[in-house]
Amino acid sequence: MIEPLIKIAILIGGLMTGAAYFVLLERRMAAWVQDRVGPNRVGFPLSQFVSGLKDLRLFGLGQPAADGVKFILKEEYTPAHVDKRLFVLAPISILVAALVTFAVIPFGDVLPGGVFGDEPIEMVVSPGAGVGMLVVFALSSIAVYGVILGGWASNNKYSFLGGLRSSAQLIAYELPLGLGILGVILATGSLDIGEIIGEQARTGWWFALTQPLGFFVFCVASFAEAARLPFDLPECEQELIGGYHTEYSGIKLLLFLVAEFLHMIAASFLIVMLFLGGWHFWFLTGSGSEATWFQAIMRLVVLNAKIFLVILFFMLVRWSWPRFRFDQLMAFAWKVMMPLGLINFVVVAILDQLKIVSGNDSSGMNLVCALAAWGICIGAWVAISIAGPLVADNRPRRELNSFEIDSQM
Amino acid sequence: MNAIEVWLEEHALLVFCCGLAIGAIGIVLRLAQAVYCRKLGTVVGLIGLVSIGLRLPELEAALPQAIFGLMAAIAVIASAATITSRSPVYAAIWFAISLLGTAGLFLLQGAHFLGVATIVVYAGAIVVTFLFVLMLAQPEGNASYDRISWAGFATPMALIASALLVGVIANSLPSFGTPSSSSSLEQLEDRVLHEAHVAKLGSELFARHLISVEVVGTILLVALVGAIAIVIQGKPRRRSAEEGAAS
Amino acid sequence: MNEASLLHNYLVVGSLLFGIGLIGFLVRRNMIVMFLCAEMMLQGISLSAIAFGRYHNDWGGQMLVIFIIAVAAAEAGIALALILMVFHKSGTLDMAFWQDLREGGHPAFIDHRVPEEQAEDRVWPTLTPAGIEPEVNEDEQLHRSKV
Repeated sequence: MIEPLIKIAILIGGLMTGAAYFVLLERRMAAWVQDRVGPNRVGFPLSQFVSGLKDLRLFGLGQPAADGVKFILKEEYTPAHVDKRLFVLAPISILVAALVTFAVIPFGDVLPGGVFGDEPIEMVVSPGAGVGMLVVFALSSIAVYGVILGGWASNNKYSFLGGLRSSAQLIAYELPLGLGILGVILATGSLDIGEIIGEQARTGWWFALTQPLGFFVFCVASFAEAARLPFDLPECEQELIGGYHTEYSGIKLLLFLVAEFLHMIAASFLIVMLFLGGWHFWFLTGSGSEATWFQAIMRLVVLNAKIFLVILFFMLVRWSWPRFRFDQLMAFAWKVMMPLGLINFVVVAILDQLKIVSGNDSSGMNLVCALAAWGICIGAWVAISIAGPLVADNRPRRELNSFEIDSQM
Repeated sequence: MNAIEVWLEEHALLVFCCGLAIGAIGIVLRLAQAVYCRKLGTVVGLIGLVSIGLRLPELEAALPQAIFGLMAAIAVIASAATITSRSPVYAAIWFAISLLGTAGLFLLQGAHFLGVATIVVYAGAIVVTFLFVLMLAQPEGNASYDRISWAGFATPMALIASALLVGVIANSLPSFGTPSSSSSLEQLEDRVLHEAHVAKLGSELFARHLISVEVVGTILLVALVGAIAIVIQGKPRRRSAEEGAAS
Repeated sequence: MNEASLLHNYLVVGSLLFGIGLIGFLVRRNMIVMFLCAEMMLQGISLSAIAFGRYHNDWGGQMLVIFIIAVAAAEAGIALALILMVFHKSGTLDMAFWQDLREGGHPAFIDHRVPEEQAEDRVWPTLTPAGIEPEVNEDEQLHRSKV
């Protein structure tokens, strides 16, 4: 009873603080990309407490605290013509969904018993959840409600359209997300995230190496699910002013933004754990389920380092690439990502069956299968590059064929 | 003192819920403007906290029953709110909440995959599609057909019918008898409540019910094509006249 | 709490869900809400099926619920497509609009007593219809600077 409570406290405290500091990291990363210096002045305001001292400029580390205080103290008004109950419900539901996702995602491996308890302590809030991956899907489906209700309750035509577009994007990219994961689940035989990491550790082959197409599809889909660039359309200012959170201010807006960052953090957790090996690194951490204290600490360090690098990648992508137009976005999901996901699943199933039929599970067989998977991935890439613009082209055409006029069924 | 302690032990759940209620009142009082309200709220909140903490160890045994009651209450109350909401959007939201309650009940029964799949498919896709259509087809102002119902005896008939149904099932407890196949805990854990639940579910689904799976896949494909065929309307006819005039 | 009373609890909840869905389906007139109540009836049945599956240690209950979910999804897709088309034809989601196929000689159902909108029935969030030009004041238009 006490142990999950402590884990939950560590998780929520760490996540909320982390989300705040990742905003600062993103602004610094944006400044680095744009060849300027980010926020580096807000530190500890000593002059407020003791007169005569100058403020400490701690490289801008006080910026998130200042932002948080600003959001909390800002005048928070509810516009007169909004649907008040749904207006308040929308940010709550999206933040709850984003936070509960972390109940099934491990943030380390196992702490060996002896110090804190008699048995090894698993560093996940709900250990042994047999359907862990599916719970993540369920919660990302609930997050769609917050977006729709936020747009609808604002009683504002642009917010409504932004909410519809945003939710359509989220629903469309849930499908490639699932298809990318299916290969991993097939290779593991379980939906439990801890077991998936264990399988990668056992064979030593990360799933990004043996299923590159699935890795690509899952990465792109998780960018879209987190509504980060290049799938940024719902919230960029040039398009629909603020999208579904135009009418929000104060703490409700803070909840929306924090939920978006938590989605990004959850997406990077999943990418690392499902495809990049989790806490496994070839010679540093052991690959067994038993771990010494040194290995347990190394696993924690390796996992967090990988997640940090993936988050840096997310932020770098945001400031590097232009964004998709909405119809390009949807065409990309349905006409490019879904076929690629299906091809990946079929290839993984065939290779897995080959391994079972030949009875060969050695490293050589894994190498052959990985090479085959990479070959098919490159082939699929070439095919999509040729065929993609043909099917995903939505430019208005000038010529009128007869089937366009007579297309009433 | 012994009689009080015995009474407290017997009614642990009641004391817990009273403690929760007192704690909630304490929090509400603390948010008030007047200073005396806030101080009173602190005291009341602490009393509530102590009441909660007092009976916590006994509640471990009553926890499954309490969780069942909570989930069932969510499901039933939310479904009652669904059919009585005036705004269809609120009805859809209440239905999603009722689905959460039902998913919790599935999880309690050991059907982990179905509990989470209900949320993914029903609450995450079907109700969202409902919300899309509702928001696009909503009339301006309040529609008259959301406020009144069929005249005549539709409402009393519906009430009598469902009361009969629920009454018959609620009174059917003595007539269950023993289950047809033995369901001791070991056998349950071997089949329906197995540890590798999803793997067993999958093997059962694709071994014994393979044809049904294929048929359901075909049904989904046909529904997809049918929905598009119903909605698509093609380009308007008058363009052919313009084309004929232009060319 | 033996197995039979556990099963009974779940059956009561399932029948309550089914009964409430039944009431809603027969009472409401909005097509979408009627369909929502039909889905609620399916949920009640799913709950009973899983309860029986656990009681008899049989996978059949969960299999049935998987197929119910899949078929309900297909049915929801087609039903919403139909409702959209019906809405385009009639301009309203009212079920009482479509009475042409009633029995011969049967009088049509007309709302005799429509309660007027009270102050608490607010205007829901809506989209303003596109294509309507805002009202302009001619004098003000003349004196406006051209932006």
